[in-house]
Amino acid sequence: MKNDQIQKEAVGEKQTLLLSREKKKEENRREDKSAKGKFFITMIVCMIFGGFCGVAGVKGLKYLREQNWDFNVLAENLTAFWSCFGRYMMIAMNIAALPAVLFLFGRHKREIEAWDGEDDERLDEFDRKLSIDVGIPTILMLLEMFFYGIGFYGMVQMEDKESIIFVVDLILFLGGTLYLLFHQRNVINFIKEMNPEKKGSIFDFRFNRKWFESCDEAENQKIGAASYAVFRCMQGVYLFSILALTLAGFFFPIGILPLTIVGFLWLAQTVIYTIKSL
Amino acid sequence: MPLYNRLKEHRARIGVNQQELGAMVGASRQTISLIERGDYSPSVTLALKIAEVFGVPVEEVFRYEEG
Repeated sequence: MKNDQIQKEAVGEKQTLLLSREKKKEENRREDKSAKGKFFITMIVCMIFGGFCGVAGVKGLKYLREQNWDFNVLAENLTAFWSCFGRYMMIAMNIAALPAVLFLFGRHKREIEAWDGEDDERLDEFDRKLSIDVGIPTILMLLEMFFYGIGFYGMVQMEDKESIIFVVDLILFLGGTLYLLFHQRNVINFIKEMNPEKKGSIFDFRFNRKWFESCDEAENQKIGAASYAVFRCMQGVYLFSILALTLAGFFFPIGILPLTIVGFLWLAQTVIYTIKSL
Repeated sequence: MPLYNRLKEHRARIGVNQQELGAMVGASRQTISLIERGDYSPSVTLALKIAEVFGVPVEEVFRYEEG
């Protein structure tokens, strides 16, 4: 008797499950139907646009070659310009931006130290200011490496490889990077003084992990949301980069290295995201 | 956010600032500030810890209302 009841309940549960799956299938069909039209129209427009760009590119290339345009020379000139720009940007950054970050942090620090400790809400404002003090040097360090890299390429590949310029560039790069590193150390240590629960030294290779571990639930949630925003943004950036590089290949001898790097980065990001979401 | 709270009021009652309350419940000052502003809904554990520090039931500090 009891077994019969259990069996009946199990059958009932199975039927409910099947019914809810059928309902979900119907909902999926409706969702797909409403999104399908837009998706296929977008794909067709993209294909027409891609085809148009391809034909226009080939025709344009043929025309420009007939007009004696040499894309190899153009690519060389663009590379020379870009690498020269990179080198000057690095110099400009070292002269202007690096003292500016020091000045900005000094101003914020004085303001925080002068706080009377009464109004808690002012601390939120201080946090925002300190976030800027951490963010700007991080961006500048990336730019420093990027500009030095393209300047170095130009010097090695295109110019007369004067050793004095090489040494000056290297000193500027190392000086700027070390300056930014020590500046970040000062900002991070000051943040740690303001927030005693925070852990990690900037000189520790596991700094990011230690800092993350010292964050609480709300901060972890914010880091998660920020990381997801980066992921979504980068999916678009990679797609656009691959399309742009494929198109650029029509005109310039860019080789397959840029496409390989973008493809590898995209793959790495997607694989890591998939593994970590399991 | 449908989670309303009386954190600031209770904090003033026991005379602690955000930093001190954060240290008492094992959270950062920023998290306490986010909760007070209604920008973050704490986990059940954190909500219970906060209520314990204030010496009141959790419903005294947090109130859920359908938005």
